[in-house]
Amino acid sequence: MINPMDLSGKHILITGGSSGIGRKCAIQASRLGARVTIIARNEERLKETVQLMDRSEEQAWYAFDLNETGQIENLINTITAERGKADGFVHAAGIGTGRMLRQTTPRFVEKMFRIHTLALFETVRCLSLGNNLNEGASLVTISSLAAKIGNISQGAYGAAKASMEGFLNPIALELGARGIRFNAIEYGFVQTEMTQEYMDFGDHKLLEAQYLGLIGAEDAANVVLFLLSDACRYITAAVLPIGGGYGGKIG
Amino acid sequence: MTNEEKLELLEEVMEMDPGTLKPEMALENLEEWNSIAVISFIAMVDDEFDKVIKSAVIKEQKTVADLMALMEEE
Repeated sequence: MINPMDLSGKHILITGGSSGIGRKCAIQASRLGARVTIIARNEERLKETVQLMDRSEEQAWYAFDLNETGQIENLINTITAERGKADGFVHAAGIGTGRMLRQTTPRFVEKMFRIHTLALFETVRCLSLGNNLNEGASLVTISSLAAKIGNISQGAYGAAKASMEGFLNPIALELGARGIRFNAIEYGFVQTEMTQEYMDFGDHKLLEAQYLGLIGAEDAANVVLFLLSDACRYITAAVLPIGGGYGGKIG
Repeated sequence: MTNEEKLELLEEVMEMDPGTLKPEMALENLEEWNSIAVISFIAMVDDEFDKVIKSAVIKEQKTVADLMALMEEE
């Protein structure tokens, strides 16, 4: 039996790896044979996630606040020195807070761009330096359908997610020379605590537009794992919409 | 922050005229307490009190006074 998504022997780095899609990616990557390193702020949740992974003793966590962009270079160098070069990277860290326009202040916009944009750009930049990535490595960033058509209150969130997509092609081109791939996934509504916060008081008709239903976190993660694997070694600079049909139903 | 100032902030969140909101009012009877007001309330508490309130906590609140009680720094 063959498994084209096998990740045995690969080292995968995941930001936001202690909750939501990031946590599911970490668990699934371990099941596919990878050595996984997760980065997030909350030590308790990080430890919990490592326990949920296959071969926990091989997996590692680093408690770090990605808002501290000046410290990312040090973090990445420490991780690769202690754990080896990376074969995969997933930027799953993010915040989904919605705000109406009058409260979309510079302070809030900066907060959204810091985690979605600056943390991604800086982590990818640092990974590209000093041989921190193995040849053929795959980088994946978690975007959102809100990057193209956000719902009410998603102005700053959608703009920050869209900035990821502008970053994609030039970097994929530059790193492509080293056989490194870089892709983004635009998710619709995925069953996570973050989405729950958004949906709790939101318009539930939104979910009707996503006619395949709410996307399970593990199902969402499987698409990331596909992009990390050699099964799609010729996919790069792509934005995959995983929206359960969202936007395709008229009336 | 005084109770009057808190009520002013809540009136802004619910887009109501100044002086119309009273602490004893039940949230379920307030048409203005809708999903947009909740989003605005979470943002206001974050800005003014540096505190992030979960939607589950907001769901438990019954009156305007309950919301005012959440408007404190941790």
